[in-house]
Amino acid sequence: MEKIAKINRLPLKIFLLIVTNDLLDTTAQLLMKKGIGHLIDFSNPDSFLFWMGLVIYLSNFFLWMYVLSKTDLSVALPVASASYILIPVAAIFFLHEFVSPVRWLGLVSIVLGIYFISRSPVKITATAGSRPGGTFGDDKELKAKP
Amino acid sequence: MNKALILVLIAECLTTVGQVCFKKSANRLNYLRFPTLWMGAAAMLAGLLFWLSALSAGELSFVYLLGSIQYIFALFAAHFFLDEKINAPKLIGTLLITLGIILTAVS
Repeated sequence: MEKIAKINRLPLKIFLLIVTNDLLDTTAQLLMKKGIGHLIDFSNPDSFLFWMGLVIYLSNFFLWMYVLSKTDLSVALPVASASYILIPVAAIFFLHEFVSPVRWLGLVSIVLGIYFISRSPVKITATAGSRPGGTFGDDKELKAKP
Repeated sequence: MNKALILVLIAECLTTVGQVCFKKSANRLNYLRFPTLWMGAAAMLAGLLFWLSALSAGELSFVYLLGSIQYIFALFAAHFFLDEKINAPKLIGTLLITLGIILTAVS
């Protein structure tokens, strides 16, 4: 098994996919929360919201698996904390909520953290199974990533 | 409060196990037919149930705040089970994010 893994920074495309995944996850959860009270009451238009949320939630899983196939878990997961910023920022701009100085400090800390992580070297895997611990069980079903 | 603490820690452990299983499956061609993925999904589901019981056992802000420990769990789990090296930027970044979540949660 050739080891074709090169060290790289987090590509912008993957970063944007992680943020998209995060936004979809939040949307799905809000929809499910809004619709769960009227789950089987099909005459109520809100019953539709839960199922829509569930579909988004499940399809989002495939996006997350794509992200994981492209980058490290210890990079993808913290970068997914972008929702901790996006939701308060949305609340500030659209709902004109007051944000205390301590909370601003927290938001700045998260942004800095994501910056540091996106600057850390990640392994871009060319071949699956090229990373020790990347697989276990049978190694027959390996996929060549372009 | 103590009960909520234990429940959150169990929930975050299970979620981390789930994420590691997902990561191990992600490079497979047909990952939906790979048992590790379903182990991960089961761990995730169990984690969610523990998370929900933690939410009902303790205050939301406390449980939420403690949930930020998942990034530290993930950092070490990825180091030991996925051979993802812990380097300075990653460690600083993870700590800053955890600190940031704690700051946004307490205020």
